Amino acid sequence: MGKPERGKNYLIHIRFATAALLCLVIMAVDVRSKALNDFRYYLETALYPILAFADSPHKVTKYVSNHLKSSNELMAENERLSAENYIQRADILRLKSLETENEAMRRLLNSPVHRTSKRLFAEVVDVASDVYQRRVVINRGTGSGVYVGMPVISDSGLVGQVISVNYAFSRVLLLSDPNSAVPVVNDRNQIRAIASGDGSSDELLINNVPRSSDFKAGDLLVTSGLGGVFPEGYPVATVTSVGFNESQPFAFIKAKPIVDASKMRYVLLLWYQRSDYEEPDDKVIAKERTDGKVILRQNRIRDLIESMSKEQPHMSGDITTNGQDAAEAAGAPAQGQPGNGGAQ
Amino acid sequence: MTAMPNGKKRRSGPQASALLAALLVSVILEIASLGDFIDEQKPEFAALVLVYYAAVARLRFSIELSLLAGLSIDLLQGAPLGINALALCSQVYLISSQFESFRRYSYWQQALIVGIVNLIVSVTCYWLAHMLGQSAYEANFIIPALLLAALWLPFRLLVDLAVKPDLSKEGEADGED
Repeated sequence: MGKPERGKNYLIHIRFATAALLCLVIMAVDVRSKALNDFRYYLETALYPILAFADSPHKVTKYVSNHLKSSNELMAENERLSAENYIQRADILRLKSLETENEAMRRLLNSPVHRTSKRLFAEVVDVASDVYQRRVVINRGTGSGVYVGMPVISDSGLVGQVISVNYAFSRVLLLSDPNSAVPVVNDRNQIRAIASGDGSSDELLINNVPRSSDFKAGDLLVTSGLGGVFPEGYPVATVTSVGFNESQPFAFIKAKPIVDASKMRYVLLLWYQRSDYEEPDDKVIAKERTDGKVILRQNRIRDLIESMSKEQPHMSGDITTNGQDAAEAAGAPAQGQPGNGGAQ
Repeated sequence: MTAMPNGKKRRSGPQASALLAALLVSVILEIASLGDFIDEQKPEFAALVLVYYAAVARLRFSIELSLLAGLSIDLLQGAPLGINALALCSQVYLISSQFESFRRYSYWQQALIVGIVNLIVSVTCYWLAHMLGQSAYEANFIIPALLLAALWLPFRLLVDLAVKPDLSKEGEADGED
């Protein structure tokens, strides 16, 4: 190898070193800071047509399969959907009356009223995500009001939350992603836990649950509402196995997500804020207890103090203090004057 | 420009155009969903085109093109920016710099090199992604690398027909420009 060739070979090392260094710096900045968020936002929005094009085979397949159905199949499907719709409409009638009743009861107890939040229908764009992550793309973005952290559900349960948003599409962090953790509660006995993803598409880990906790295979885990990201009550996973090791303080619990993300085509996005669950302005304030028992008790204490102060005048200081406490407990104004109670 | 055996210069423009079109198709194949099972085992199609571009066609700016293609894949897949770019650049660099007579090897030797380099780079990038806290624990490397090696032969034959690279002389190697 002559001198010029050596010089030229040297150049490729320099070029690769520059490119590799650039990649590492970009990677660190992208993962650890938000400096490249705007850059990603505009570029990903500009690249959306390529994503839509990559999804086109599925759209074509769906279109063709819809148009190749026979009239008998379509009639049978129509009949089935009509029956399903009829039953669901009947259920909704009952649901509305139950919601009204629930709201009335909660108002009586001064509990926060659960209000139905705004929802948005979205379609899953069937493109492959990074192999190291579990995410899906949906065809709604900031143009439709989608924001980061928005809960995403399907007709069977919780799907995940929006992790990044662009103008035309968003990425949803699935429950099985290694960066996902959802506060859940066991529907059978209300034990709280955290369901974390481990990267496997059909498995969640329930971490840090003591061995003595009552978890059984088949238990349904629903969102607990703690953390303020997900509304409570949506099905998350079913417990598949419970085990423990004598040397470990925690049980090994695995669960299977209710929603199969690989077969999911449509999702609902929820506008959920903690403020939706805050107390309403027109809340009903409970009346103070003014029944006979309370008044009798206050009078009895007052009489007792007075009688003690008459019998033992040398203990007036102590009695004064006690008398102040008792009077405060009885709802009387604070007594600042010394000897106002027992000295009399 | 590529040197021809008769001393004439053949323009590399059409070759580059054909390979850039192939690169676009390969990027779309990488982001297209081909079913759950295939998605998990899917090889890096873009690596095939870029290795051909750098080590067989010996066209210029292969590292820079790999960087751009990798960044595009990162953006389209929602991956940490730079991870696929680093993987593609590394594969192109290793094959271009360490196997200078790559295009003179027999096809099975080329396939073996492509598969092994892809495996090593994939494991390294997984390790990097894991350090960044962005990776799943169950990553599959062997089957995609084997599939990439198996695809090398049909890909090479197909693209040879389309771009007709001049293999008689070394020409303008990418690393030597």
